[in-house]
Amino acid sequence: MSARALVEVEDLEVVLGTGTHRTHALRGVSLTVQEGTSVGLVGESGSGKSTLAKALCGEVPVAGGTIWVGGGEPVAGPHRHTRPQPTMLQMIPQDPYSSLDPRHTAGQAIAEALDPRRPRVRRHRDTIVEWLERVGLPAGSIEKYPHEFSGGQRQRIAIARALCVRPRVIVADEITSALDVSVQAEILELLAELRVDLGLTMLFISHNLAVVKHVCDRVAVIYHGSLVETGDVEDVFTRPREQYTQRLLDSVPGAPGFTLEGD
Amino acid sequence: MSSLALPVEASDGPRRRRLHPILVTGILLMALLTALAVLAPPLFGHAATTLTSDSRLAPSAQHLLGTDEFGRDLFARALVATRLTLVLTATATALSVVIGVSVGTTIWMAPERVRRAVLGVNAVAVAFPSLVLALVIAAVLGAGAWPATLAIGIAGCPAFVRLSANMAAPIVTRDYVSTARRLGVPGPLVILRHVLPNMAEPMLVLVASCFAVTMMELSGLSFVGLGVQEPDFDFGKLLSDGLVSIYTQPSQVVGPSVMLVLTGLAAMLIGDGLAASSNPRTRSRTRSSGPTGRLRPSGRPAVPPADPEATVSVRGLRVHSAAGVELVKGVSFDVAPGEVLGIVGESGSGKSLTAMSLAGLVPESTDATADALWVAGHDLLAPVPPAALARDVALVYQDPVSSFNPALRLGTQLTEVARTHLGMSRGAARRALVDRLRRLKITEPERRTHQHPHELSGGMLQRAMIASSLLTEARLLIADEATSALDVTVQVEVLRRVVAVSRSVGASVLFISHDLGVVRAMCDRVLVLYRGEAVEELSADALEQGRVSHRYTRRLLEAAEYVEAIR
Repeated sequence: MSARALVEVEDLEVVLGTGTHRTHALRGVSLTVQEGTSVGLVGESGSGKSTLAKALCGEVPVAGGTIWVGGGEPVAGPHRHTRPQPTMLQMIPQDPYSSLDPRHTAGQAIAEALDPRRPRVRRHRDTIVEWLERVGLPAGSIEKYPHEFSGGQRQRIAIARALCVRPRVIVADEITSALDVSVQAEILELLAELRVDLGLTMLFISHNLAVVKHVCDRVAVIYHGSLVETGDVEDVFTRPREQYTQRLLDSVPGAPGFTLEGD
Repeated sequence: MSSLALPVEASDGPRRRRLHPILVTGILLMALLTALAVLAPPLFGHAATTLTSDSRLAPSAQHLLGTDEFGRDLFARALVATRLTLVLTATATALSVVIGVSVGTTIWMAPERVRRAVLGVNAVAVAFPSLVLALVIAAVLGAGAWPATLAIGIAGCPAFVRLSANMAAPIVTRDYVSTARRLGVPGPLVILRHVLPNMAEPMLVLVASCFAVTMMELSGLSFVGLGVQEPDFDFGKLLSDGLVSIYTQPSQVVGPSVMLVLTGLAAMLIGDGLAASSNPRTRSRTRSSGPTGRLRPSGRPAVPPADPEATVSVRGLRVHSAAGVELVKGVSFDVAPGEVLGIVGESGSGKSLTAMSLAGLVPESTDATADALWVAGHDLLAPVPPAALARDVALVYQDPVSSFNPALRLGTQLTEVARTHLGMSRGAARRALVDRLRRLKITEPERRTHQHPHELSGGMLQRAMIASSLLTEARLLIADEATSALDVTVQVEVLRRVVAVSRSVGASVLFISHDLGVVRAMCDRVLVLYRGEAVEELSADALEQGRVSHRYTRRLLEAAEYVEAIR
């Protein structure tokens, strides 16, 4: 594996469920995320994109293939799967309404990330305020509970919580799909900014092809558990090689190939 | 019993709330009993235990309930027994709750195989009546107060394992729990910090009612002689003593019976009170003059429809929430026959409330008024036969899965309006439906009518819903975020069908969406809602070329351009 690859997935096979509910969620997926770059993983529901995220976090059993996060020992392979170290990989979850404990303040949520065993807001106050301000929230948010924030603000807290650990890799799973369009734009702009400032290495998962272009260098298109196309964002968007990618691009309302005529 | 009263305050948590009167009554009663448990033994202990020669006296001013065969004051005995009863009951309850909840929550941190095994074994234990289980354990441990308490406590565990496992299930799947684990928080700490506090409220309700049941079971064991032994006595033991002379001296059972009822009542009131305080519907008191969920005329002079031909004509539609907040602030618009009108807006803009009002559906917690509201020739401000409205207005909701009844076949559900309101026969309706399904390009239409909703994909269900509106030849199709939950490749298919349908039967479409791209592609005209107000009405061309005047519309357009546009 290349010296600069922070995430390397090789021939990953994941089978979920047992008996008649068995589904082959990922079929021979290989993917590399180089240090300091961001890869978009795009696919429709059931394509296996969230399963890949869970596999990276060591949360689903792996039937075959290998996953390395940050080099060294693989975190997952046949017969073994371990959670990567918190400082190695962090995930920003999709739903801002379920990602924050309703009984904990924003300060408590971030303090838990800074010190999982003894989260003391007072001791980490300066660091927490610094991160809140970095994601565009006022320092006073530290005392507030999740229900006092809007969806977009909650997502900012979730981003701060994931980033304050200073992980080497960030996995963002559909982090804008539950938000209003104008809020989505704000969050994407924030992420694009943070990516440059902090030099993030990121796997950005989305069902929306269009959002990927703002925050990613490369894009991987996943369909029925297999990667159908991988390439630079510009290339894939302008010269898709696969028919499925083309269909996906044409289905976006307002895209050049989009039409409501015909059958 | 301070162990029960204390967490009540703790459950107040971040939001302060007023205590429910039932809860206050329960806590006061329990506080009284607790005070009795503390004070009665030093005050009345002597009268309750000293043997005198005044045996079997009738109730009098000196002995309120009379005396027993050894001349002990029965009133004093009933009061003094409170301490032992409460202590034993609290111990047994605590035992069941602590063991049950610990097991029920920690299994969620264990591998799935372990969890299934534990829950499987527990299910068998739950099926076994707990009192019988307690009798077996008590028989093994021998008679006595503490063995009986241990027996009841252990016998109560399986129920709490099951309850807490079920309560924890939705919490452990929440992202804040999985995030905490990813951050490296140890499993037991995750339970203490995130799982237990979030299930505390319903758990306390159960603990309170469990307390009452446990007291009954313990008293039962004492009653049959397996529990408290001489010279100690609890309510059950007193009852059993009194039973011997129930015909000659019935007053002997009055004391322990009344005390049992009072204690059980206190625990139940606390439980019910906790449940009532945590339920927002019973907590709010201003319900009598609250919203009716009805559409009413605004009181201003009724306005005739501007265009008598219009499918929809709305003037001054206002919707108020229960708290008196205006959610829709006087929206007016028309929809011409065959026209596709888009309503765009972000969450909280009032777009769904507006759309639902047109179908005569106003949420129960809100109130809607309008100067005029004409839909498909019906004046919705006057009584409209539901059959006519069901026939003329078709709705397609956002979530295709929850808008169908999972237990009924599609054919039955999709032909319901046609059968009940148009008087079509079952066979004719089904044949017509198959034809419409075919027109919506649904594969194997005959087979689909015999299938259940879960057997079809989301896109197919949405198309089936549209097919049913074709069946009744609805004049207005309201699509409320109908494609928002669908994948883009599926969304195109559904959008194409909506366009085709409105063209083929000339139905008007009210297309509600947050997605400007979709609206731009679909609609002839677009109404932009922002915080309950229609800030701008645009033609498709104007939107296409970005000729918008309102600041909000421009911002929305820019955001959509940023988020949605491919190039």
